[in-house]
Amino acid sequence: MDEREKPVGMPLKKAWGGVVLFYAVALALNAAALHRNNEILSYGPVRSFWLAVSGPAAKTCAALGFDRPRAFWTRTAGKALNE
Amino acid sequence: MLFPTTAFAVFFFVVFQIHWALAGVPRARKAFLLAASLFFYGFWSWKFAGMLLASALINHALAVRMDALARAAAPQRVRRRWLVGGVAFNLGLLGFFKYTGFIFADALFPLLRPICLRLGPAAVAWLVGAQEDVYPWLAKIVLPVGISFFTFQALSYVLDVHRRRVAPARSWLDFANYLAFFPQLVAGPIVRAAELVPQMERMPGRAEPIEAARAVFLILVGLFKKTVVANWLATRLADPVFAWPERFAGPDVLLGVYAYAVQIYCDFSAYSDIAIGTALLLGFRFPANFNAPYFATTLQDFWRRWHISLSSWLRDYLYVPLGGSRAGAARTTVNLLITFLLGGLWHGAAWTFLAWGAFHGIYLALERAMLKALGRNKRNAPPAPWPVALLGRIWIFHVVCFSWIWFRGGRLETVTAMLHSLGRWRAAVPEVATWSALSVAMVAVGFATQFLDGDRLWRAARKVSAWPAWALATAAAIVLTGILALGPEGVAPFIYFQF
Repeated sequence: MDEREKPVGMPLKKAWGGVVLFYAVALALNAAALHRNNEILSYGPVRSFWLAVSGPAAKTCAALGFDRPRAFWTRTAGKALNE
Repeated sequence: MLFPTTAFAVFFFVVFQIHWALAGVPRARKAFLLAASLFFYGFWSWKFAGMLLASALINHALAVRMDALARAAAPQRVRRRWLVGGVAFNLGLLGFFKYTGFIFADALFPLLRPICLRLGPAAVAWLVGAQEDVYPWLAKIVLPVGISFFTFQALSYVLDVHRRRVAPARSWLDFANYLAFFPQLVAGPIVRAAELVPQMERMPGRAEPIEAARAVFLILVGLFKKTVVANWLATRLADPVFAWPERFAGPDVLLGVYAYAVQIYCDFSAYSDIAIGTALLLGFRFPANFNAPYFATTLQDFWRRWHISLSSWLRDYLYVPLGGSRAGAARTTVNLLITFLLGGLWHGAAWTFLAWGAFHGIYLALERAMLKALGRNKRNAPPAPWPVALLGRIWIFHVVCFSWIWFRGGRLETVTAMLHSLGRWRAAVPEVATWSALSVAMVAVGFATQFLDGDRLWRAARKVSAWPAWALATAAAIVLTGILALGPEGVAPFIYFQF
């Protein structure tokens, strides 16, 4: 088998831990933006549910300053691209 | 449920946890995976999730019956009868939902109108009445998302079991999981039964290593291509140009067409990348669906690189059974034309899709003849010198761009207006222009993402694969944040959902 075709994997336990960590870090960095997106959903039980979920996470992450990298990126590159 | 949404992120997290937690209980795991796939599809329509399940059960029953007949050495005509039943069922399902409107509204009624006018007032009154009855009924037909994809998967299964190329799945649950597996359910790749059914039967074990680095790479690349590049190109360049071509000058329309070419590649290959990546995290392997298609030097080469799972499906189940290239040049041309006309219709029920397919079929036949005359039709022909190959790439990119005008135009009027505007130097509305440094840069970035296809970056990928899981996860979350910050608010559906 060609070297490039050999699958390179990691044990399930490590991959599982990686996925959980990925979700945690992604949530921490994006909770505030996620909450803002949920605020513009149309009124109804779906919006209420997502707001109830994202609200506390957004508050905690904003208090800890985790929302700053995303806000910086949005303010600079994101705005330049989408305005 | 769309891939780049919070709902899908939550759904996938839950599925990932339970799928691996149930690794020791295969039957429960299979049942859970099927339930998850039906939930994914049912998120859009529960009614059609039921239809998908029914389709799986009927196709599996047909396959089991055909296999039993073959084992009992039943006459060929008896087995063929079951095959015809299976093919008719699948094509009937696809035809009803996808082509009924086209047949009545775009083919039958326009054909009957002049005839009825000649026949007199009674015939006209009958036609008006028929239209009044049929149009409200047509409006109620909703196209199930991804029906073209899962129907083609079911067809390949029935045909392969009939040809005894694959055995029927061990249980209906394995086949239903193959047909409804959520990563590739609504927009492919069209994975063959021979590839995925054995994986569904065996189910990935806990001891098998997971290709997490490759999966994460594919998912992030897919998200970048879709949320940053494809969405930007669609809203800023392609959509305005195709909506009002008469307002723009030729160079602006040209950039709009380039933008659409890059947009459709980024959009569709992004779906395939995310599908392959999410399946990998669950322990399943899909074949690649794209391999830098705009680097092709001939149109034949393009079809070996673009939507590989569909082009190989059409080759194996349509072109080759029709006789392929074995029966002379004239017959080959007819076979190519039939294959690509049906390939065009597969994409959508509209005359412009048929024209798109016809263009590809005719061009491929001409290209074949030309390559034969130049002696370059052999598989082992030496590669062309690089300037010739480069010119070939540029030429084929423009040939494909020309065909995209038909594909995206939707209506003959739009296509005509686009072609007319392409030849006009000045815009009808002077301040309307698409050219800017940012526009060109975005088209170029989208075009360059083809370098990420296949295993072009395998050395870098190997290095990343060696990273510890925590570093990979943190880096991926940071890159994801950057991608989300670069993308616009909200997510447009993938282009290939409509097919």
